[in-house]
Amino acid sequence: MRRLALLWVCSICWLAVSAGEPRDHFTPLKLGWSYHKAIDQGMSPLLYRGSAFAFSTGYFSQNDRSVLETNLDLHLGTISTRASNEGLTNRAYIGRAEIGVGYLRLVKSSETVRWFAGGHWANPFNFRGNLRLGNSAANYEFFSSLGASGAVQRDFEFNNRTVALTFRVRLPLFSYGLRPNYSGAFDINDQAEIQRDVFDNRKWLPIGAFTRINTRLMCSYPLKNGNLLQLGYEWDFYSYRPTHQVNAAMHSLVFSRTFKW
Amino acid sequence: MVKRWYILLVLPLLASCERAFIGPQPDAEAEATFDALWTVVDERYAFFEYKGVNWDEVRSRYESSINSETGTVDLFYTCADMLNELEDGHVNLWSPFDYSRYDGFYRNSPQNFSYTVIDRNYLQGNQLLTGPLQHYLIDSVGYVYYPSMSSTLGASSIDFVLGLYQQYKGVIIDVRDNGGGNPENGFRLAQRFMQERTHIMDVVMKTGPGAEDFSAPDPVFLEPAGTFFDKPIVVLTNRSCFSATNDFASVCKVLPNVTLMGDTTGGGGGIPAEYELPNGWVVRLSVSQTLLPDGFNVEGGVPPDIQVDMDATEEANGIDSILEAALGEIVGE
Repeated sequence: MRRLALLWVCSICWLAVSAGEPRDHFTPLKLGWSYHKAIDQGMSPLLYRGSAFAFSTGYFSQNDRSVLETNLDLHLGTISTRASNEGLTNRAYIGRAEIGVGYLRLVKSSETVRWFAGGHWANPFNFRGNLRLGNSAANYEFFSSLGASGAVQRDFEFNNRTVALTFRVRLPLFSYGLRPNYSGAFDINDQAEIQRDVFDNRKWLPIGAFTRINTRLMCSYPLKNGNLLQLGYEWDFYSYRPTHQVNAAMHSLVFSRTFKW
Repeated sequence: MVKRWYILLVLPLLASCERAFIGPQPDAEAEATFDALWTVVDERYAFFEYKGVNWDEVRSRYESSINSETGTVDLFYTCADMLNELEDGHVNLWSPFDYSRYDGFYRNSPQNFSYTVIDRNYLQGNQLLTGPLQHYLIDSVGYVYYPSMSSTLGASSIDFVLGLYQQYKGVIIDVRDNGGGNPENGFRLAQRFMQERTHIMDVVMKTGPGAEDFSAPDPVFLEPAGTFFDKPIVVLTNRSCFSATNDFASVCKVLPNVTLMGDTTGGGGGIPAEYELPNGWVVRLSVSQTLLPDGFNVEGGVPPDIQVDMDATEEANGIDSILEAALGEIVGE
């Protein structure tokens, strides 16, 4: 597994280095809103739902043949569940952060449609803080995944500008995952070693243990100075089975002012 | 090609299928809630073997009273009775109208403490209040009363109090009726009673749903801090010393220069963790075991080095028999 992961990293690096053509460089500043759903069997069998403030930035460079993208995404909000026959509303704080790198290379093109394929390295961290649960309040997942990416881009004319509509999908292949231990509680008798407990339950994940689908639809409208206005919708779903299963989904709508260097 | 591209635009509709991926809201009816509670305890509770509880047999006795007609209140008290079969003060069930608890660990034992006796006849309002500590000099011995481990005990408070009594014959730390809180407070106090890094306990965590799924014993060490208190130390305990206070007594049991006096502590050696049930209630239960370095499981309490009970006649006359015994132990009478 580790050798395959290393091979994957090397392949992406080689592709990135080989794309030595002149490129345009951009930094997006994205703000928006996201809607989250989760069932985390570590803390509750109940379905939690809620919304979060979304912020994202990063860097991407592109030319006619390739796109290299890094991203930093943050989501902060609350999720809650309404237990059906008790009138209880249980609430949890939600935090989601992701740092990633992706590379896409043109594989096929026509006059208006271009197809890309490549890989990515994604590092999402998800946190749910359910203060009602005392010692088990902190529930989290961290994954470091190497995966395959694909995208299709269609250009069309709007308001005398060439607008790009891009659909991208990412699927992890090799992943390393972190979750709370089976009990969901730290050894509070050994508080000097709490950080060890946090990282205790981590492992390489075989295919099938961690499933993730990440799709993004992005519309890019160029301004006269080369900057972009972008409107994006992202759907993300993941399922992690070891220890206690967690299934979570996110819908995110962001608006971006993207600056060209 | 163009047609195929439009087909890909349909892919975001995958999102509409996510309900199938994530799963539905679980059934919150009485039978489902009872089953979820029993299962959570079955898979995560750490003391079945230690307490000799046959959880399957317990279920068979209670599940017959649960059916689709069972009301919320009846469900709660049936579940509470089932949980109390574990006889664990760390096991609770929270609902909007009540929370269940087990207090048999002290209720069936002598109280062995009266704050009124201490306040009226020993402190008499002269005590100093340093952080959460009440303390006063009694017969050339420092008497320090710490009522709750939930009250943060800072290093400066400890150092001030112990520094004050360093010049006298010894100190009595009274943690009777201290029902617990944050174990760090007791550990911070015990750090002044040791001169070297000390193996104080081993913790065994539940690591899976099986009855045998436990981690290997994880040794916990405590480093000395502050100024070492080099005079005799007596710690007073009773059956109401629970959870974090039980941990403090466990550490004191390991330290050769500390004498435990009074009654066996109330126990509560497991780390409590909480989980939600399908109807939104929360269950708390012990998910670990705490062992002394010699392997003794402190779930049932830490026995004192010197067993002393309050004498009812003396108590009626304003005398705390355990405190008097501790004074005698230090002063040598």
